[in-house]
Amino acid sequence: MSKEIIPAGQSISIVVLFISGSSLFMGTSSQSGNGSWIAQLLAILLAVPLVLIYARLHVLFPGKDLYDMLISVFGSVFGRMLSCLYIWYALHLGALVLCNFGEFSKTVALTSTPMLAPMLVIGLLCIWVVNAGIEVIGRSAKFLLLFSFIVIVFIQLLSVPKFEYHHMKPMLETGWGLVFADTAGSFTFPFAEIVIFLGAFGAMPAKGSARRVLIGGTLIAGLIIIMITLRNLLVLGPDILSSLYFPSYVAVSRINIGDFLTRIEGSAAIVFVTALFIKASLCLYVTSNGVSKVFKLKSYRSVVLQMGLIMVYLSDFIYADIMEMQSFAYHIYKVYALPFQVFIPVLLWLTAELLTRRKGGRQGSLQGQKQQPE
Amino acid sequence: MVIYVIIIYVFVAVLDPYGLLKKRMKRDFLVCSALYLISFSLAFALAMHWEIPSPTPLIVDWVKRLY
Repeated sequence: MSKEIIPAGQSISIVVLFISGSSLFMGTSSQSGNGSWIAQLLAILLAVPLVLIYARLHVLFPGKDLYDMLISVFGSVFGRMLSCLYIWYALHLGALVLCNFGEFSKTVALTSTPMLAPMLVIGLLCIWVVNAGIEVIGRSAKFLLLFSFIVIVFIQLLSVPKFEYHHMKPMLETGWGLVFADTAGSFTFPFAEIVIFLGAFGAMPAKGSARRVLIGGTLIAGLIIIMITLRNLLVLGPDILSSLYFPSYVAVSRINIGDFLTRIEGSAAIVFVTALFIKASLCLYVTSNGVSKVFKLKSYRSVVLQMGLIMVYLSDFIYADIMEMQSFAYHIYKVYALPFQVFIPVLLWLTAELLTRRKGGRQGSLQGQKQQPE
Repeated sequence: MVIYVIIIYVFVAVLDPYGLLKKRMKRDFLVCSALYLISFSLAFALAMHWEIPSPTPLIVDWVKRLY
């Protein structure tokens, strides 16, 4: 089977949809009221150096994914143990994304339908697309990003008459403390979640610029998230915004152009579905790829169906209710995700740099010894 | 519901793990079979409306201890 390669344009599309996926309908942490957009900006600034570390890993290990890197740096046993942690993280994140969609369907769209039904439909679609290969996810993402971007800009323009600029005042009413708390929340969810993409680095061209892909994708996704945060804030106000589970859906439902163009939130929800489809698919791909690397399988496709089904079932019982989901996403997740997003990748990067320099130094001294007899 | 789950999983068994065995991918078959058993157990438990312990309280407990 030939090696799968995703070009830079498609990789950027995956990164943008992956980062903005859940935030499009869940919104972001908004304890800081009308200062939440400042928190988003700070979170992007924090995410940039981290993303540069991820990109550096691609330079140090061209053509290798996260699991190959962990095994080659930390050895067969410890590397595999860390890989198992990442398999869990990717599976858990995929289940969380599907659960967000399930709760969204149950709360606002399909109130009488069991939550498992929409999650199973999306889950089966993800299994299908991952089985078809990462190239298919890349091509889908490129098309869906264009579509999503057009819809987001269109809705943004339609929302302008509903903007109430007094919601922005008084600026930083809640103080910097809550802004920093929101920054930490937005950094881990959604920006640093892109660590999952390291599991698909093997599909990027060995000489491709991971820096361009990751920085470009993070900045575009950050721009989209700030646009949406500002729209929700200006339309709903900070008090209503912090009390809603799906603020974007409610903000879009307020659009009314001459009593003719109204109730378009149902149509706008398609953007949420497309983004979470890409996010859940990438999580499933990374989970299956991890299992195939840890157990030395011939292909990750051997376990896609089973891992996808487990992901769907996990999403059904992972939270007791929507309040637990919200509390986990905004309060617990920022601590839980930190080792996966920051500590382990930074440790991996530092160890890899050290090993590379030592290797380079040894090669240099060997060359010096060879030259001496002459 | 349970009957449907069992029938669907019989088809899945023929398609997925048995398909790998026919392709002589023994290691893939073993891992896939183990995952198949987990997947089937979860589906069966959900169909029976049994309570499956969620990992969330455990994670929340760990995080609160760290705080």
